[in-house]
Amino acid sequence: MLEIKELEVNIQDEKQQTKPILRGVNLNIKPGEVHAIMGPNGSGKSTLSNVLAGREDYEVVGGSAMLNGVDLLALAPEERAALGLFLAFQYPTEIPGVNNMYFLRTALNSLRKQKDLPPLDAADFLMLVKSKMKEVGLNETFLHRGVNEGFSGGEKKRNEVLQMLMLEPSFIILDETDSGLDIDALQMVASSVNSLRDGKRSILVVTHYQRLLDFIQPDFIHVMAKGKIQKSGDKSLALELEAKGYGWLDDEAKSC
Amino acid sequence: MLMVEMPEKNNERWKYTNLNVFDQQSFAARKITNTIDKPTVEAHRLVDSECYLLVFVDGCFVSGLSDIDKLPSDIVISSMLDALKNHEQLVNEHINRDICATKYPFAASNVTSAKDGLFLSVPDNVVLTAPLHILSLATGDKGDMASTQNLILMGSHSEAIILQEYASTSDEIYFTNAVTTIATGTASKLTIVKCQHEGRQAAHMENTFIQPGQESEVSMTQVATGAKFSRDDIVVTMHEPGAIFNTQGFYHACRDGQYIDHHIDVEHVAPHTNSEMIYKGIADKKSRAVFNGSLYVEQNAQKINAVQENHNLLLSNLAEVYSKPELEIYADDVKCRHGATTGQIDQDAMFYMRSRGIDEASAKSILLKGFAEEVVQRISHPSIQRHAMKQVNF
Repeated sequence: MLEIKELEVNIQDEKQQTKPILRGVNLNIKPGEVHAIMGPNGSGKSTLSNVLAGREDYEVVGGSAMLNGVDLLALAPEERAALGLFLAFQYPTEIPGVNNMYFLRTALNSLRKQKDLPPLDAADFLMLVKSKMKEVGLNETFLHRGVNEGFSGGEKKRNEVLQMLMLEPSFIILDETDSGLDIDALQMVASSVNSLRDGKRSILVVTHYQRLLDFIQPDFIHVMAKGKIQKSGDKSLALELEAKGYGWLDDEAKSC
Repeated sequence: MLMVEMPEKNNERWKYTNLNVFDQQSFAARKITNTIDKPTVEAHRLVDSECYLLVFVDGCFVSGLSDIDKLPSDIVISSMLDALKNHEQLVNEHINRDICATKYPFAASNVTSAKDGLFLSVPDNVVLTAPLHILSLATGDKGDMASTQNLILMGSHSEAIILQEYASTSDEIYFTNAVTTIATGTASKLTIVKCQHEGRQAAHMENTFIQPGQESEVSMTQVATGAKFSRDDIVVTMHEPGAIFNTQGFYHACRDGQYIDHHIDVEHVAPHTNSEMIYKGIADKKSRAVFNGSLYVEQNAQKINAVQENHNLLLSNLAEVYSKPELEIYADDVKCRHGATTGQIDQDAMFYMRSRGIDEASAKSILLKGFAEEVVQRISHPSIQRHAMKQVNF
């Protein structure tokens, strides 16, 4: 499904200095698998998510990322979405003036068009979106507001999950979707994600904490630090990290 | 002949105004010979709403194209030419013929050149249920000028909604020079929506002078997308307590050499008066947009609430925006808020939309439409709101 090889990415910082963020990331996610990436602040987790989704602020200087055999890095963000990639943003953008329902319907129908499917008519769309809103715990007034405009942190994350349920992507990246959520919202996110686990969809969970992984059980856990995946293992690795923090990785990295 | 003493370079009100068109072309009023057919007029009619359509062609009232048989009998409405015969005293009482030529050179020139216009008087307690649609169509040839003088008088406790639309069938350099005078009575309610989409070579100038009555409410929305040169000066004197004046505008300068300018002057003389000006605009290609909002609060005008906002988007490196929100406050018990921003299209919002599958061009058009809608959605009449939105294209 997703194959990342020796991915190297730079950014230009505020002083226009080139700064390497990813220094050779390797990751292989097969259909149906759930992988989690954990790691300290500044390790490059969010950069990886954003580069995969196609944000332009980054400069890819080496390596590759293929989704189902297609070179992701050569595609525009909307083409990646049409391939089934979905990024649930860490900080969803507020778009004042653009109606949430109109946005969602345009997105859904754009994806359907790219897949040669007819657009969903207004009535069918409304029925679908109302049932999904119930699932994520947003009331219908949110349909008529600007996209994420004035939403609380939790409401924004629920709106991300709503989009995910509506667009039914085949590869999902959750970029710290758990940050700033209370326990009820966390369980809602987890149960929505779990409802999409069908043995074919793959999910990449980026998180600081092990808490979300109690609800979304990953098949593999990777620890990222200094722009590289330093260690991979099964879900017991998360518990080890929770107990020991990230400091011991530095020692291990030095010794090899 | 258009006789205007052009403002000096150091005149603060005219500093950023690109008056090249008046150097390159002279304008004169000529007798209209061009005719407009009914279908051209009807294409502008409001959809899904009753309305009284009144048509002016090149500044002259054309009764044959207007809904004169449908007009409600309890209001006085006529061309300015007729009003000067039938309501001379009322007209002379309200129309200022001694206009400061330094501040308002085009309005001063209009006093002598205006031939016709709209005269509307809504008596006390009369509520107009359907909007009045004043459609000014220009057919002008090169150098033609249409000067109009409009007077709108609202009696106490009266209500009206007016759609003022300037459109054209001409691609030539013609000039529309309008002056509108508005006086409203106690506790009246007047809503004006102005849609300016004149021909692409046109020059458009309108001066609006407003005196809101006690406890009255005047609300204006301006949507300006047309003409090569377009300037609106709105001058409001809040001299009666309890009066409310709101104005909002959206402008889109989208062609090389296009110029759109809004000057709003609100003077709070009486206490307990509220005003709001919210203008948003987009400048693209090699165009220029100007917003100059000035808010003046006299020393005795206490308990004032006022808002002044201007937000601009620049879509090209060659486009220019001059935003000048001014506050001059001499009273000490007032609440005034103002803000101005000029920026580019939000790249985070673009990425967010594209990451959901919306292509770049559509994402941009949705964002710009959203930016405009924040103003246009303030039009409370749904049909007029849709009518105004049709003019906004991305």
